[in-house]
Amino acid sequence: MKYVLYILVLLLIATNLYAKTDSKKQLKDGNKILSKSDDKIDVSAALVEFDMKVYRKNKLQRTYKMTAKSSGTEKNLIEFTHPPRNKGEKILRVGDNIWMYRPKINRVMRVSGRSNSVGSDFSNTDLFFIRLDRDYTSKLLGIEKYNGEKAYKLELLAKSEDVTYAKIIYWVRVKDYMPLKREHYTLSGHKLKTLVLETTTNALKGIPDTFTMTNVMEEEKKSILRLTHLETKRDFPDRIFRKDSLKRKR
Amino acid sequence: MNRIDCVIYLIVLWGVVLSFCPAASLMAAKRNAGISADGDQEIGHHLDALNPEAEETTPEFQGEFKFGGTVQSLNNSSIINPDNETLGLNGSETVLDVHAQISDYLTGGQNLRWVVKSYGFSSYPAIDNSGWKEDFLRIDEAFFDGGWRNWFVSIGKRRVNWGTTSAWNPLNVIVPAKNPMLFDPPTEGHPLFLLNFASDHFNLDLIATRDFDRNWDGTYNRWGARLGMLWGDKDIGVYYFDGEAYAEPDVPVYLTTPDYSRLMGISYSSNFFSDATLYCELASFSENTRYYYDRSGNQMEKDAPVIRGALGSVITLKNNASFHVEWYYNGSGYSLNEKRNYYSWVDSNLSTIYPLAIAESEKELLRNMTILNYQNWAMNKNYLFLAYNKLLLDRYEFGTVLITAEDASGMFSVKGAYSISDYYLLETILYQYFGDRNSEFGNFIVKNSAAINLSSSF
Repeated sequence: MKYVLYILVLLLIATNLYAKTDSKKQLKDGNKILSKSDDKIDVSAALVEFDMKVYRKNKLQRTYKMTAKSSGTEKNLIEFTHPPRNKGEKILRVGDNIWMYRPKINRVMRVSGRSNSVGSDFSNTDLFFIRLDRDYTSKLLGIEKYNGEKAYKLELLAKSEDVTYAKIIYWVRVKDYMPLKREHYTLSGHKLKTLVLETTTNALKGIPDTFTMTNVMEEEKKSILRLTHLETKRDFPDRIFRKDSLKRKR
Repeated sequence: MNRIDCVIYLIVLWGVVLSFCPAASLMAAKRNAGISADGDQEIGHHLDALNPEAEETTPEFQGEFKFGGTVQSLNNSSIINPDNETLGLNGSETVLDVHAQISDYLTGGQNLRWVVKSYGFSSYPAIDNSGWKEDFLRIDEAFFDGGWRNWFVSIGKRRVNWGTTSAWNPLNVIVPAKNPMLFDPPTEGHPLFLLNFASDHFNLDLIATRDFDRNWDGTYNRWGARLGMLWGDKDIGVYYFDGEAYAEPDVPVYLTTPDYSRLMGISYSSNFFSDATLYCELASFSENTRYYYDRSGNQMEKDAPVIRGALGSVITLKNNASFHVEWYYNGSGYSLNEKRNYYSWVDSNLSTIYPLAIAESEKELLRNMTILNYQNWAMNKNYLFLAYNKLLLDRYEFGTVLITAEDASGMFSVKGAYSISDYYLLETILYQYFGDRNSEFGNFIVKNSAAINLSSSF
C-alpha cells in the first residue's frame, strides 16, 4: 500500500513538472512564432503610404490617406494627406507618448493610444504597426486550419495594463509565419475587434497589404487599411520624430 | 489693408500661380501611374509620382471657406448692456470666413521654406439700425523657417503657442487670445525671431518678439525662453517671458492679458492609464493691474503679482466618444463683493448717461468708457470646463460644452456636425448663457444664439 502511495505521489510530481515544462515550451514557442510573424510586417525603418476607408452599415463613409515614417521600433510619424479637412494633421509616437498636431488651431496635444484614430475602427496605436512582441507575451495554443491552411493559434497577453488591448488571439500561417487574423479582447475578456490581414498583391513583396478591422461590439462597422506604397530601410533624421518638429513640415 | 499686406498678397498670388503648374504635371504623373480619377490607386503600380520626396518640392496651397448665419437674442437683463442700448448689436448676421495658406521650399534639400497664412472675415447684419458692419482681410502669418541638424530658426510674423492645456491656456503669452474666455484664436501673429535647439529628451526655444502694429511699427520688445523635457511618458516645460508690457490695438493696457512685466511658468502632461491624458499649466505673472470699485463707487487700483493655472484631462470613452474636463484658476479674478460693487456702479453710471441731453456719439463714448474701464471677462477666480464629444454613424458628430464660473453663471453649448463629403461640412451650434445680474456670464451681451455654418476645405 505504501509503495502504491509513493508511486502515485511521484506520478503527480512528474505530471506537474511535465505540465510546467510544457507551458514553458508553449511560451517559448509562442514568443518565437510571434517574433517571426512581427518580422513579416516590420516597418521599423520604412516609409509607408496607406489609405483607410471607414464603412458604416456596409457603406463607405470616409476615405483618409496618410504617410507614415518610422525609425526603429519606438518612433513613428503619421501625416494625413487626404481629405483636405484633415490634411497636415500629424500623429507622433515616441515610445509610449503619442501627440497629435492640428494645424487649424496650431496646437500639439498629447492623446491616448487607445483612442480611435479619426473615428475609424483602428486605434492610434494600430496605425503605427508596433511590433507585438514589444508589448505582449505569446503562448502557443495549438495548430488549427485557417482558410484551408495550417495556422498557429497564439494567445497574446499584455505585459502591462497600459497597452491598448489586454489580450489578442492571433493566427499565424505555419509555412511562412505570415500573420492572418487577430481577435482583440478587453481586460474583462470581451471581444472588441477582429483584424484580418490579407496579401492581395505581390507588389509589396508578399507582405500583408490589406488590413480589415471589424468592430465586434457594434454591427456593420469596419475600416479597411490598404498599404499603397512601402519603402523599407529608409533612414529618416531623428529631428522629425520630435514633438517640436510637428509644427514644421519635416 | 496696408501697403505691406498688399505686397505679401501679391507674393501669395504668385505662389498660387506657380503651384498650379507643378500640380498639373503631378496629375499627369498620377494618370500615368494608373491612378483613377477619384483618387483611388491600384496596388501593384510603383507610385513614383506620389513619392513624398517628389511631392514635397511643390508649393502647397490649402484653405477653408466658411459661410454661416447667426441668430441671437440679446440679454435684456444685463446691467452692462440694458435693452441693447449700449452696444447696438444686431439680431442676426451672415458671416463669410476664409483661411488660406501657401508654402514652398527655397532649397532643394527642403531645409528652408516660406509660409504665408491669411485670414479674411466679412460680417453682414441682416437687421442693421446702426450701419455697423465688419470686414477685413489680413495676413495672419508670414515667415521663413529652416533647420539644420538639431537647430531650427524662424523669422517673420508668426503665431507661437506655448503650453499644454486645451480650454484655457495661461502660458500662451507670446500671441495671446484677446479674450481668454473665447477659445478660438482669432489673433494674428507677431513679428518674431525663434531659435530652437532640440535633442531627443530636451529642447530649448529662445524667442525675441515685438508687438504687432497695423503699420508694422511696433514699439514694445519682449523676449523669452522655454526649456522642454521628455522624461519617460512625461512632458515637462519651464517658461520665462520678459520685456515691455503692451496692449492690443484699441484696448486699454490694463484690459489685456499680457499686462505684466515678467512671466515664469511650468507645464506638465502625461498619460493617465491607457485611455486618458493629464495636463496642467502654472503661470506666475510679476504684476497685474486691475481696477475695482468700493461701495461708494470710487475707482481703485490693484497692482500685484498673480498666478493663473489650469489642470485637465481628456478621457477616451468607448465607441468614438471622449470626455474632457478642465479647471482654471484665475488669480486676477474679483471677489463677489468687488463684482457686486462694480455692477452697481455701472448700473448707476449708465442710468445717468441715458437722460443726458447730448449727442448720441457723445453718449456712446461715455457708455463705452463706463464699460471699458473694467475687465468684464475673466472676472471669476475659478472656472470649470466640461465637454463631451461623440462621433455618430461616422458622418455625424455631436458635442456639448459646459463652462461654469464660481459665481454660478456659465455657458452651455450643443453642437451637431454633418460631414457632407470629404470636402464639405455642415454644422450647427446653439449657445445659452446663464447667471444672475451680478454674475459674469449673466451680464454677457447675448442670452442665447444659434449658428449654422457650411465650410469647404480645399
